[in-house]
Amino acid sequence: MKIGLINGSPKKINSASGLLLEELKSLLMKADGSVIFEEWNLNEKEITSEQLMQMENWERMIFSFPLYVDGIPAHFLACLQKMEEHLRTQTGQKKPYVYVMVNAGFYEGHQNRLAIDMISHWCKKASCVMGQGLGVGAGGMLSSLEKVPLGKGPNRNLGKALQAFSESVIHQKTESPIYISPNFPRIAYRFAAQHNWRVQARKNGLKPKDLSSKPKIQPKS
Amino acid sequence: MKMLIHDLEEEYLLQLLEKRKDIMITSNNTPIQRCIGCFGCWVKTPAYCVLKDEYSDLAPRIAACNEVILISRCTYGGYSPFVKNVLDRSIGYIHPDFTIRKGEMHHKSRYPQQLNMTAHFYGEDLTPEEKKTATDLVQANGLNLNTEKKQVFFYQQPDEMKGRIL
Repeated sequence: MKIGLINGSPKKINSASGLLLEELKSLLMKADGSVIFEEWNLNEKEITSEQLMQMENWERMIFSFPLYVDGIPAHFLACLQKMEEHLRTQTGQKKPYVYVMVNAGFYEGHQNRLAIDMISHWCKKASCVMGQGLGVGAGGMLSSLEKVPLGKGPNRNLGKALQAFSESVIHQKTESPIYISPNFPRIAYRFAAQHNWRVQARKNGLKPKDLSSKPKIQPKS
Repeated sequence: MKMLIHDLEEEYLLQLLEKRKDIMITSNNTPIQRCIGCFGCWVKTPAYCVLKDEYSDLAPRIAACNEVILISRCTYGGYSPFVKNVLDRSIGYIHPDFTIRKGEMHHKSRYPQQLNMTAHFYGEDLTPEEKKTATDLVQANGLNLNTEKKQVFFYQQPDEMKGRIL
C-alpha cells in the first residue's frame, strides 16, 4: 500500500505538522510493515506536475498542517486547488482516501474543526473520500515534548488519538473527527507560551512592552 | 475608514463600488509573499510582517480602520488563496499573548478599538455545508480579532454585489 504524507506547514524545519507525521508514520509502519510512504513538504515550493502524477498511485493521502487564521494556510490552499483540479479530471481511477491532522497554537483541539471541514469539502470537489480528521491543540508545545513517549504524561491524549487515527488509516475507515488537548493545564500552557514570546523578543533586542506596541498608519488611498 | 480586501480584478471591483473616499483597497495587483510562520510580526517587528513586500504593513493599516470588508471566492468553505494570504500576513493585528473568550483560548487584542467585519463570498454551486463552514469561519475570525459586528453574504456571481458592498 502506498501512502502519501503531505506536510503543509510553511516552516522548513521543526514544524509541529512534521512531528505529527513522523509519529504517525512510526505507528503505521508498526501496524503494516509493507506500507510505502511518499512524502511531500509543500513549504514555499509550487507543486509540480510530477508530484500530481504521483498521487494516482496512492491508496491513502495524509495531510498535516497548522491552523492559520481558523483555516488552511494560504500556500497550502493554493496547492490543494491544483491537486483538486488534477484529481477531478482523473475520471475512472481509484482515488485515495484522505486523512488530515491539523494543529493549532490554541489549547483546544476543537478549534481546528473548520479547517477539517474545509478538507471534507475539498474531498467532495476532488472526488475523494474523507477518512478522518484529527485536531490537535497546543501545537506550540509539541516540539518540546518530542522526547516524552506517546501515550505518557502530557502526550497521553495525543498517543491515544494517533493510535486510533492510524488504525483508521490502515483499515481505510471513515470516522468522525477526533479533537484533543494536551494532558497539561491550560493555564500552564498559556504562561509558558507567553514567557516564550518574551524570551524571543529579548533575543531580537526588544523589551517586553514592545510586544504591545500599537503602530497605526493611514491608508494609501 | 474601511479596509477592503478582495480577489477580483481591481478595475472590475471599482465598477461594483459606490465612489467613496473612506476606503482603502487591498488588491492582488503586486506579488505577495506567503506567511512563513516565523512570528516575527509578534516578537521582532511587532504588528509589521518581516517579509519585504507591499503587504508588510497590513496590520497597522487595518488599525486605522473601523471595518474590514472581505470579497472572496468561496473556496472549500473558506477564503480564496489571495484573501487568505492577506489574512495570514495580518496576524500582527492581534497580540501574541492569550486570553479566554467564550471558554476558549484566543489571542489578546493589540489595539483597543473593535472592528466590524463583513464577508462577501461568491461562487456558483456552493453547497449548504460550504456556506455553513464559511459563516462559522467569519464568526471564528471575528472572535479571534475581537470584532464587534460580523456579517456574511453569499452570491452566485460577483456582479450581484453591485451597490451592496459598502
